[in-house]
Amino acid sequence: MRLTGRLWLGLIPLTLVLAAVTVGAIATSDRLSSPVALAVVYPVIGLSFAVSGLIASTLRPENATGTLLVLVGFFWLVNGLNEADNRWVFWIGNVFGSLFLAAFAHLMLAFPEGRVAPGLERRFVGFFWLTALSANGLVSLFQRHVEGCDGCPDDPVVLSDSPRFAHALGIFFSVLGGLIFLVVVVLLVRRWRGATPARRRVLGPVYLSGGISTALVTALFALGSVSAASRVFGIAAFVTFGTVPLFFLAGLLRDRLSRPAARLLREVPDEPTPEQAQDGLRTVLGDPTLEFLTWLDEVGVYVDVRGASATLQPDTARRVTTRIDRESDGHPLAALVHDAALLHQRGVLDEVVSAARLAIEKDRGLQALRRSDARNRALIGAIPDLILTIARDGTYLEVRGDPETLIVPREELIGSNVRDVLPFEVAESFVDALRAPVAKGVQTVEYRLVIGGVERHFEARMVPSGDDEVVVIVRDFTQRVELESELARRLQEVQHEQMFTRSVVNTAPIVLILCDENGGIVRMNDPTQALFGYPDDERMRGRIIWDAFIVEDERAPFVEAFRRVHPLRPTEARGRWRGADGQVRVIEASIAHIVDGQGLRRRLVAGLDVTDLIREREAVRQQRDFLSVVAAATPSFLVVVEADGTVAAEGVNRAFADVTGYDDSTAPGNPFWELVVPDELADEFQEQLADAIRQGTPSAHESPWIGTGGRPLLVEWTCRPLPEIGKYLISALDITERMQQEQEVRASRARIVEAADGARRRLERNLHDGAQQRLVSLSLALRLAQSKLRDDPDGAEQLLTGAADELTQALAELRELARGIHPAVLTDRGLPAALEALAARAPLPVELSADLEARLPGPVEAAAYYVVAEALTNIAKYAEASAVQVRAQRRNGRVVVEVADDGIGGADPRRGSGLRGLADRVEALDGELEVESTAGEGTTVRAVIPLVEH
Amino acid sequence: MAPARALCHHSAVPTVLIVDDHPSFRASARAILEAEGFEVAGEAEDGESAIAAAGRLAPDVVLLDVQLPDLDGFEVTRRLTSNGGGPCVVLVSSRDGSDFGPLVEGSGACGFVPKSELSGEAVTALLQMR
Repeated sequence: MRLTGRLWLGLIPLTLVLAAVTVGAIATSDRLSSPVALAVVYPVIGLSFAVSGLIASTLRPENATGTLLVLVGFFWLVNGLNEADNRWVFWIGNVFGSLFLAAFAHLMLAFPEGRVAPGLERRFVGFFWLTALSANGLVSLFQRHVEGCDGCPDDPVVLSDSPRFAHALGIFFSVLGGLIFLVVVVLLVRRWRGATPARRRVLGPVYLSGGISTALVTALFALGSVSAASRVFGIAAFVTFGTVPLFFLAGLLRDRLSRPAARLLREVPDEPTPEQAQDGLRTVLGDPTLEFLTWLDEVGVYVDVRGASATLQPDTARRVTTRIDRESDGHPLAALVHDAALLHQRGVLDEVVSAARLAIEKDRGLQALRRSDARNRALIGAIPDLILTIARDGTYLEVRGDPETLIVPREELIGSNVRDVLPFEVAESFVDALRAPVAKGVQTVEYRLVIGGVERHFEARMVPSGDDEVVVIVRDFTQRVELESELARRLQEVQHEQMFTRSVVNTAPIVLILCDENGGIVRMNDPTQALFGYPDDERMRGRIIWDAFIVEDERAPFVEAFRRVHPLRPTEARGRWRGADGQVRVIEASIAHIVDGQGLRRRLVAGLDVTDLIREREAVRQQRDFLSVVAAATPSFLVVVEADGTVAAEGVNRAFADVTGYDDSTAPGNPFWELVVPDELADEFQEQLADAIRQGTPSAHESPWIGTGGRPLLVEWTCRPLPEIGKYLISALDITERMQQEQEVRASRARIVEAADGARRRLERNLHDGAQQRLVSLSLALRLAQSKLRDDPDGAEQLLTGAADELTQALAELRELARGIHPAVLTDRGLPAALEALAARAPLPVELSADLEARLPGPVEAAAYYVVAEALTNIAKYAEASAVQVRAQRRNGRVVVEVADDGIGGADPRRGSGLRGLADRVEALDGELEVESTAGEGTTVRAVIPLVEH
Repeated sequence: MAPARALCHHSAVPTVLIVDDHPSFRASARAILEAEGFEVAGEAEDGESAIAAAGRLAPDVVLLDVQLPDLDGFEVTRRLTSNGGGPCVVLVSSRDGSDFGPLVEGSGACGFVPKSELSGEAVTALLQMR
């Protein structure tokens, strides 16, 4: 109805306007001999199509015939525009005018269904529309002036003015148009010939008028527009054409008589429910109050659609009952209770009743058929596979049924005994059952037989039939047994699966909590109970998981994750969970959608306790931080290398970077030896490193390295494995200074030894040259004196006098020597007294200040004494000084001895062995000897010796 | 005096060259040897002058100190006795003879006398052993 409404609303004004324009165009045309007559006839025909179409659309909205009629009328009117003098109006009429022919052919082929059969026919119609649109349109693009039309205005839309081409195109489309109409005629004729008489009654008038006008149009095309006869044919075609819509309308109205029944079939589905039937009838008959009552044979009453019984009421002025009875015997089928107004549409009502009757009868028949089919199936299913009649002695008497279930052929079976046919045990049970007294009723034997290599299960029911016979009904239930065993197997599988799942769920160290969609706890696994100390019982069930477990300030993200979870993708939520004892653990949870065994939508929260993991990671991190600090602070050089000796990404420590200039940005990736080892030693080093890496035990090596600016270093290094990262640590210590010190100590020791040797040599020489010589002389003098004592007493006396002098001198020399070896005064009375003795013997004035409170350790006293003694000797020899100051005092746990003169200065402490020997002596006591000797400012020798017990 | 003359290869009084860097010893030795009949032909205070004096004076005995400022006594002995003849070299020292071990034996000297035991007799004994 909506479509029709729109058609009315849209097309009536449009068509009227178009008709008016057409009338104007034709009436004012300069080219027509009788424009007024045509101005009347033309719109009458067009409007007759349009109005017929609108009526048809209203009556048969589902049928497109009406639309097609309107289209024919519409384009007919457009066609009239090509009589106009205005070039644009003329152009529209000229280009679109032929479409009415396409619409008309479409209308003819679509009648009476209103639609063209899909396939070839439909494509043909489409082609026709296209041809009608392009025929005049294309031609007009190539000619400025329509051929053979002297008064026609020029075409406003021209691609290129080529009359010859346009002429050729015109001829082509004329021929094509003629052919198309021939095809239409052929199709219509074929349709007529194939139609039933009832259909011919509908098609007849339409085809007659349409066919005549089609034939006239065809003739018109064939004759061309030049001949005089075309005018006659044109008028005839006009008249005939004008009657066509009336025939269409008549055909459609005729069809309308059979509508209600057809609509009923359309409105009501196959095998309708009573409600659907009632709704269909209400729609078709236009009575929304209509009630549909059905007759129930079983109880003999009418019931309404809700199943309530209903009694037929006598007719009133407003409500009437129409019964639907079986035509053959008047048996009630149904009844309609409806508005009395429907009686005015008696024909419609009768038709509906007839259709309903037919449908109900058909439905009942079908139902009856179904019932009998079901019964038959049940019977068929109940029939046993085999029915045997066996004598009580076991002889087969009769065999009926499926020969497949027989162990031997039927012919052999009759007359045989069960003992001969069946396996022993089966036969025995058969015989026992066969012999059972009649009073015991039906005996049942279950047994198995191998038939055709397949084991089959049977059940035999034995019903006594007379005194000597038993009817044995055998059923093969192999399949059932197989199904049962299969079922049992599957059940066991499911149970195993369940047990497996249960043990996994309850033994895996994973938190598993099943929740409902709102977070209410449904179940928890054993590890969850153990970890958090909550029982999986009614105390926990229903509690909201985050309220029960999650630490307060971390609930929000968990809830968010819980609600966000996607049906196919679990979400992750890491947070702190609190147990019953208040202990907090970090859980990495995954929340997933799940449907449980009862088909309920759940959330499964699966969590992993990562508390210890995090703690360990933290400990490792702290340890790593600590080690990093140590590595950065240690004076050792630390370098991590790969197994091939290249510096690893872990790099080097600060000490190494400071000394070699290679840091973490430059060292990694380089072979280690290329960074620090001199080229000539690289191979040797590489070998040592390879050995160390291979052996895996750290052993110390000494190697010369090169520091920044080519500074030579001596290092002691080891290489030890780092198994955690599969790399190796080279740790090295700069021993350059230590080695220098050791060398220095060795040299100092050698000098001390040398000094001691020299002193002994000097002592021996002095003894030999001095006292010893004097004593030798003394000895010889005494012996000579002895020999002269008698003969030459004066000579002897002289000799003795000389000997006495010699002895005195020898003693003096010995005393001096002894003092040189170690001053007795130092041993006996300490440093101040010894220094006083030195000062007293010095050849120049000495100012002594020695304030030491107590005795010093022996080696310190000796060193201090010899420093002063040597300094005084040197002053006497070289300094040209007039006075000397000697000081000795304790200061901060050390003794400081200082000898300062006012001489010429400029002393070189490296000159001579004396000072060097003193320095060795002082340094051997961890002390220091300094010499300040600026030229012209005197010389100060200072020894500072720590006062520790040596 | 007599034993020196009697035992000497020469009929004359044996002549001695005293070599020592200590003047006090040279004086004592001269006194002792002259007292016992030796003729002290000359004195020298070092090795080179000793060799020169020995060549010039051709003494019977060279009383030679082992320790001299330039050459040691053994070297001087070797030079003086290298041609197979030469004077009888008597090595003296204020040290004990055992301090020099086999040096004295192999030096070509007639013998060794400690300085404190020097006497004409000891020198004569060595001259006789030659």
